[in-house]
Amino acid sequence: MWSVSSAHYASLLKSKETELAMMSYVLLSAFEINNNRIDMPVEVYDERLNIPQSGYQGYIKLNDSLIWQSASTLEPISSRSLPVASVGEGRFVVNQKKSLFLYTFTAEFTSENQYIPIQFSIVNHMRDVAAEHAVFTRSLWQYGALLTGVVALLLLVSLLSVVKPLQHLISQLQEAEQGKKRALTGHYPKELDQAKHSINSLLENEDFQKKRLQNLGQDLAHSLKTPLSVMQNQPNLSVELQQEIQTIQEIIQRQLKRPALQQNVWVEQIDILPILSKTINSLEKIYPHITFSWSINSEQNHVNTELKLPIEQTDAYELFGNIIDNAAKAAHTRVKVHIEHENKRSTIAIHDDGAGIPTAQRKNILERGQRLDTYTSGQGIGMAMVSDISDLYHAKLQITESNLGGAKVAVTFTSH
Amino acid sequence: MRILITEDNPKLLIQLDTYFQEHGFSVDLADDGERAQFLLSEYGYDAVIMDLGLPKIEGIDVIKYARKKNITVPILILTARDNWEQKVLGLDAGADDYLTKPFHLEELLARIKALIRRCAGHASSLIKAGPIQLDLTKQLVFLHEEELDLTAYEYKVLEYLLLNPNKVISKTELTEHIYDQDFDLDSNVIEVFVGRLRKKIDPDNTLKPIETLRGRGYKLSLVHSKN
Repeated sequence: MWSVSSAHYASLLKSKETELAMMSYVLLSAFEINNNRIDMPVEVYDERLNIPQSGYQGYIKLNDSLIWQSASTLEPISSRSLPVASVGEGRFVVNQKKSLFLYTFTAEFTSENQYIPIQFSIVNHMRDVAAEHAVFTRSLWQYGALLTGVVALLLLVSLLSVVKPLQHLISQLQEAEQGKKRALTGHYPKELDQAKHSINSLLENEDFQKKRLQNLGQDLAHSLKTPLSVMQNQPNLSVELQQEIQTIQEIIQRQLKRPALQQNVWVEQIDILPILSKTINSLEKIYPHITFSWSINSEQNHVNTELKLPIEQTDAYELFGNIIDNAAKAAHTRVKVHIEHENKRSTIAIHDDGAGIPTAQRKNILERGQRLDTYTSGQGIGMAMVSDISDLYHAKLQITESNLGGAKVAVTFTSH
Repeated sequence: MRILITEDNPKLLIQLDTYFQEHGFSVDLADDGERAQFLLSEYGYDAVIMDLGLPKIEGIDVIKYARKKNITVPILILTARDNWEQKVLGLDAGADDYLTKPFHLEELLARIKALIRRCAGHASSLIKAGPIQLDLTKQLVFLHEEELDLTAYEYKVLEYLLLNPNKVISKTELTEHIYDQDFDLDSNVIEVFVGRLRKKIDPDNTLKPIETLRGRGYKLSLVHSKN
């Protein structure tokens, strides 16, 4: 920008020099010396030198003395201020201090066989050129600024068009991470579309592998359990053999389920209310003497109809099925499921009115793999699974006393 | 009591058949879902033991079929599938109880008896009707708190009548519930059993607990007390 402005100013100076040179030639053409007498008209051909305050002044100097000044000159300048030029040459000077352009051309005239050098000078005020240059510079800056703005805008638009799909992809990845999505959707540029398909394939493959592992475990468990049933129910079975069969049974129950307990990279959030409802309805059939009830306490109305938690459906059934089933086994007449939801924390507490779990035993129940045959039959493996699943989903498992008189088993999920 | 056992493992099927017959049940067997569905639609049972992984038709579909056809027989699922999701799915389809393999025959028997009892509206295993008291678990009958000596078939007839009080039970229905499906239905042994029962539970012929309704069947009319 600066260089363009300087170039423009230099061009103006050159143009001014040419203009003043031409004007000096006007003086030269009008000047005559006849018999040692100077003959110069008052008015010259160029009107700018005739009109006062035109901004142009013309001077003719002989031997350091002004011998003529144009009609346009109201306040003549000192003859010493005029530049001096060699004969036959012109000289252009810019006097910044006085804001003047000065040009002098020296020509020799003959008079009585003598050569007399005569200086023809033109003085012009700088204000017009300065004003023109200022207008140019201002326009230059304005257009420059406009151009910069347009370029910046174009850059921003092009940047956004590149970044927007990335931002969309990132937001979808975050949603998937939070369990709100199970696959990436939407249209992306070619390069990102490939990445989207790869991520979706990875998720599908992970699902498939997990289901495959679950099915393998189930098939293996199924093919082992039926022959075990036949063995277990053989008449006159020795106690030792019965114990061995029991051990095999426990290994199958725990270990064949364990490989299936692998959390996916991203877990889709599911509504657990239907799961709790179906589980309770099912258990009402198995335990007709137990009254099951459930309640929800939340400031958010939607929780009364929907409570989404980041957990696989199969694991949610396993987790709550085992806890509620254990509660029903321990209960005398009542089992209550209470849901407490605030902000990002959801607690599902299962109460029973049974004998409760002694404090010393509570820690053992929560320890993975710990058997608890002493509490109630079936409690050991079931609660170990509950503990495993809680760990898997970073849920907090707590056993305390219930206000119903028995045990309270609470699972707390905290979303991030 | 007549039950249907559905199981595709032949060894386990025979084991269950033997065990339940030993405990006074009439047992029909099905080793695939199609046969189970047929038997359920053709015969009346007091309880059904149903495996889930069956050839031809899945156990869960047989249960759904039965409920769709308004067959209200209590159904116990006996399966190796021990996931809670599958348990809930089975019970939601219409089953009444769920037992996972491996299991103890004693537990299965107790659960089947409890199911039959619950289905008949009795919370306890003791059924009282006037001076008669029947213990479903121990399979014992008392008259004025004195134990009666009944044969297995006499017990089956009395148990069925007590579980269905004030209801007309045809000879065919009674026969179906105390004998296996291949029994000759023209036999008049039911009349013999009822005659013997009357003598044993009402020796003075004062209570007249079992009423004969000509051409229709029998009805037990004693006042029940439910536990």
